[in-house]
Amino acid sequence: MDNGGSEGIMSEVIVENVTKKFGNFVALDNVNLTIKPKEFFVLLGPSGSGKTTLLRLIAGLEDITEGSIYIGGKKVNDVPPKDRNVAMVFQNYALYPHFNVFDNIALTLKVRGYSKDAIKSRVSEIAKILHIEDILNKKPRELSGGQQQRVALARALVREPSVFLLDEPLSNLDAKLRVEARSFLRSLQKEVGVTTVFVTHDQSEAMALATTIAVLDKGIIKQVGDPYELYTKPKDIFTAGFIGSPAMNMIPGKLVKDGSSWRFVSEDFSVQLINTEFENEYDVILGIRPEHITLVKDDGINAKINNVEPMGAVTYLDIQVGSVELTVQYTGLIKLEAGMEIKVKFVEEKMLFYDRKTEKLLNV
Amino acid sequence: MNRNQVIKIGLVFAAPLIIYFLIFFIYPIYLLFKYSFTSASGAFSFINFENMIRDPILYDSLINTLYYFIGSVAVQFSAGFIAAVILNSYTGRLKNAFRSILYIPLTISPIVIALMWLIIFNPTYGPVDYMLDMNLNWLGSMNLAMPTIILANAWEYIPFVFLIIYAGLQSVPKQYYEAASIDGMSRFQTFRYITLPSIRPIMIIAFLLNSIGILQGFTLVYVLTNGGPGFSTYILSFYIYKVAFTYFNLNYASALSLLFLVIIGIYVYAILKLSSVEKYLGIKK
Ligand SMILES: Nc1ncnc2c1ncn2[C@@H]1O[C@H](COP(=O)(O)OP(=O)(O)O)[C@@H](O)[C@H]1O
Ligand SMILES: [Mg+2]
Repeated sequence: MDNGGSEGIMSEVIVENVTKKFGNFVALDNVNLTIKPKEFFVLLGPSGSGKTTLLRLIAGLEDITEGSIYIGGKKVNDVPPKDRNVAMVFQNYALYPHFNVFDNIALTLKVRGYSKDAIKSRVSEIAKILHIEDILNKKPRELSGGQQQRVALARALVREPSVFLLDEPLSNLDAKLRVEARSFLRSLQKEVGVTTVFVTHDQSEAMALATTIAVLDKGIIKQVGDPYELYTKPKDIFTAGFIGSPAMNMIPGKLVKDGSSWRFVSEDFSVQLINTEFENEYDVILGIRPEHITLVKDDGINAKINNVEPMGAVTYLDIQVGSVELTVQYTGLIKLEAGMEIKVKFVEEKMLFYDRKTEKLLNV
Repeated sequence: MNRNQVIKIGLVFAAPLIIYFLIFFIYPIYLLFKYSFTSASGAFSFINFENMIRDPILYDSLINTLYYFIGSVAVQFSAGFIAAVILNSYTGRLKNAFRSILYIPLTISPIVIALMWLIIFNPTYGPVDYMLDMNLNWLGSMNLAMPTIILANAWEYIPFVFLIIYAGLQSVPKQYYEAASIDGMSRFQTFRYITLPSIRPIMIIAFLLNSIGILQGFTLVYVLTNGGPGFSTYILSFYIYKVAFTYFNLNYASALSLLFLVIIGIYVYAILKLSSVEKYLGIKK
């Protein structure tokens, strides 16, 4: 898309010590974020964690209780939404019911003084990309949820804003279209280079899209990092459990000094650690991803298979180790059955230890 | 239970309403038609309708009704609409106070309102002439009587229009305004592209109800001018009353009522068609 001469592009968004309260309820608690220009920034968190609220604060639809927000270097606390030049896809779309699809998309250009021809060509361009050319004459209530979502997306993308704010914009698309829309969004964003804040509760969507992910839980930013960092070194138990599918295995136990080296001791087994050092003995939770548990012939932890789920490229095994059930991801297909006894081993470099009290990562 | 039983039980429950409807709606309408087509001797006849053509008072009444109607609708609808829009965008502390004040006329009986205006415009001790330091005899003047009635009527019914449109404005979902602000609309553009189209169906309803209310207006004329001076404030509803209860010509009054009914029917139909409001109300796709 043509983006020549647009003032907004390259805008950085800074969220500084932002707290948002609804009455006594703290929806966002001292949030600090720097969203770099051109970045595809994903806000990831479960439902009710405050993602929409943060997005609405950036858009200017809610007043900030404490702290400041800067867009493109300018403090915008007191700037009304219409002067922030942000484009937003609302979680519930908020399409204008009395206008048809074309007008819904075109209105924002019209009020910005674009010529009739320019409006027409831009709208049809974006409509083609989002596969909504055929429904331009329909009213929103005549559309399916997925179609409405694409119209909402078109309304935001048809402009050249300084920031895109997308609130779960793909949640209502069917699986195939969602994957398509993901790659379209990603490439469009690269091409146009507009700073994008994308909200989702779907960690795989976050991993697929983001240059940076911020994990939000109960109004608190848990961790900010690129997908690789978040997947390999989640800094706390919440992030560890939230990112990755199937989820990381969590095993309660103790770190015990054993001569010159350390052992992880759980109720049912213990593991000798060769290359890992700790300051103290801790009550911990061991986090280990399914792909980092390997099957071994001998010298392993005894386990019993509960369930086998062959997916083709990988096979998931649910195994029982004493009182805990673990998920194992085996690359390729394997001939195993429920009820069989096997031995497994954990990949030591991939073992993550979380302090049970602070829930923080102990490995450095 | 089989189907017949269900229908029977249903009828028993619906009976009070059906009986009420038969006695108070269907029967009077039947009588209206019957009297309309009855001559003085009691025979079936078109004489009442033939008489209309030669009736100069009817002619005057129709002209007056048109004057009264257009004047009233124009004043009431625009004032009610503007008041609603202003109060809707006003966020100050006195919002509720203003709203309550605007409701007051709706709570007063029409006859009391009429008497109040009678006092206000009284040529000897009324406050209007006193304050303006004039002696205009508002209600006794051929030129001023009708505007005075329009004014008094407006005071009574502006709140009605206000109430409906204000409720409509309040019910426009907030998210559309949020989307509009993100889309970069100014206040005026928001009003034009969001507010107005959103309340369009309710505006049409308000307009229709207001129109019908105005056409049925009677009390003010009856109390303030009794149709005078001359026939200058005879409106159709008042004329029908006169024919029925002063001249005791029930047959002719019925025929006039039928005419009135047809006029209102055509008017309502035309407004509905022109505004294509059925679309919005889901009556028609
Ligand atoms: N206008 C509001 N008034 C009161 N509480 C609100 C309001 N908006 C959001 N909340 C609360 O703030 C929390 C975060 O909401 P939200 O930002 O919508 O979460 P998410 O988008 O992550 O699902 C929720 O507990 C929600 O109930
Ligand atoms: Mg949300």
